[in-house]
Amino acid sequence: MLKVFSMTSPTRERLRRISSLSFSLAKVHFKLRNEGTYLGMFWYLLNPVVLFAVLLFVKHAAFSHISIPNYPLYLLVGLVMQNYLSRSVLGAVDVIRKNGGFIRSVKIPLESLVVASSLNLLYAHAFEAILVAGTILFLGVPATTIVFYALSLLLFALFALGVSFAASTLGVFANDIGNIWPIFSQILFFITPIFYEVEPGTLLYAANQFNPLYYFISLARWPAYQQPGASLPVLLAIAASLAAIGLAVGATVFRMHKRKFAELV
Amino acid sequence: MNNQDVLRIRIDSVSKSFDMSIHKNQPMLFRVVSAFSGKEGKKEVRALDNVSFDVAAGEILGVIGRNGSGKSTLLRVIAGIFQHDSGSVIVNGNVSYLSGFSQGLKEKLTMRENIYLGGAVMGISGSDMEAMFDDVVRFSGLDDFVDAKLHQFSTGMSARLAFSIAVHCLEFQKPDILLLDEVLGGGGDIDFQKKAAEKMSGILKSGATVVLVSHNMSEVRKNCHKVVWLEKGKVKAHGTAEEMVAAYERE
Repeated sequence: MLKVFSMTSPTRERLRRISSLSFSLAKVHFKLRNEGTYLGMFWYLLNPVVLFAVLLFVKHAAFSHISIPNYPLYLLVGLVMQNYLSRSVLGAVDVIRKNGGFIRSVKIPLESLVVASSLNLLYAHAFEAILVAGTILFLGVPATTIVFYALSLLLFALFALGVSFAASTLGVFANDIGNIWPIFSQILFFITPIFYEVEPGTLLYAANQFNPLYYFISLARWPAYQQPGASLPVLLAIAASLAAIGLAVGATVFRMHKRKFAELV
Repeated sequence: MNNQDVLRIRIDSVSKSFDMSIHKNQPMLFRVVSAFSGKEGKKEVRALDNVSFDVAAGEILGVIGRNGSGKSTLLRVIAGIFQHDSGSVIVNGNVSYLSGFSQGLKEKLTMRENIYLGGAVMGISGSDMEAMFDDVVRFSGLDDFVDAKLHQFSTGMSARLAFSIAVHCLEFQKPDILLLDEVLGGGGDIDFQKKAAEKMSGILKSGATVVLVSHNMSEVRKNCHKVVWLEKGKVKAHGTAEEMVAAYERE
């Protein structure tokens, strides 16, 4: 008589494997992306820095009558955080699809591919963070802004990871997501108060109450710029909830569909 | 309890189909239009059709059959890479699945970096990989190229490195179940192939339960206790390695 016995691998071991592989893959991809380029990691800064310079010029040339305290910092924080979400999702959309051959021939935790993509971007964001910290010190705004920025970034990174999980799942089923996201991201750029401010009671203000990016950016700017009508504990609670819900929903969507990935990509 | 009494794998009436009408790289709009126009009917290919067998602890099962008979799909179903449509798959023990050796290696990285990356892909921690690093390098015979990039390697050198990483990881992991898809040859020159065959033979005899997919009938005859012969996704026959290989070669 043949007997069956069970040997299930503990969740802790699985989490260890996901984090270990994610860090290894992120390190490799970061190295490979920068190799053979003259500016290397400074390419990451090009997009937000150029946009920052252009928008700063436009503000001074055309909207100098509008006064926003510490505007360069206000603008920079908005830009780098929007850039983080935009690139994080764009990187995740095809991460499963482009590793199709790999995931069919090796049994790996598929979450590692998405986490590695997000970590890779977090490494790159470190340079933008240094720029933000430098601007805070240069403008002489309260140094606690750095703490708020770091806290907001941590929560935002978890939220963005959740969105990335969902985007990578959608990307397996439809190639189109990679084309739709940049359009959506551009809309998000214009409706979020990144280079302008919104007043309570306006249509844009009402619209931003449903925009997760708005809360994370507002939290990151807090000591230097306090959004009219906002309260810090409420803002913190909303940002933390968005991070938890975003990550939980994204990871659940991914987990529900991941067993189909290998045969679809 | 006798080793043979412990069941490692039970495959019971397993079927698996693939929807061949899915066009992986076509945009969603095209797929929707195609579906509504009725021009593209649903094309299903049944890769596995009601497949059943058991493998006990320590047994080496060979899976043979022509290309497209469902061998690789079967291994991926056991490994949990593919989801089966019906039937049941019971796997008891930790599984290592190997399909080719070079997956995951990066041409732009050095041999050293690739050894650590290969280990991470196979679930080995950095510190464990460090401990076996010298053995991997020594076995590959590529001691002078540790800091050379993989794109500077010949095909044979890359194959030697990939084989060396994979077998050392397998030796370290000591899996209960080993799923091998066409990986018996180590690549490289004659001397290395001989060394690789000996190493692989040692792994096969280590007591792990092995499911081995191969077109190399002499290897199947030499290594397997029993064989399942697949044809168009169905089990055409099963029996001892000697009987099955003889019948397969007659056909």
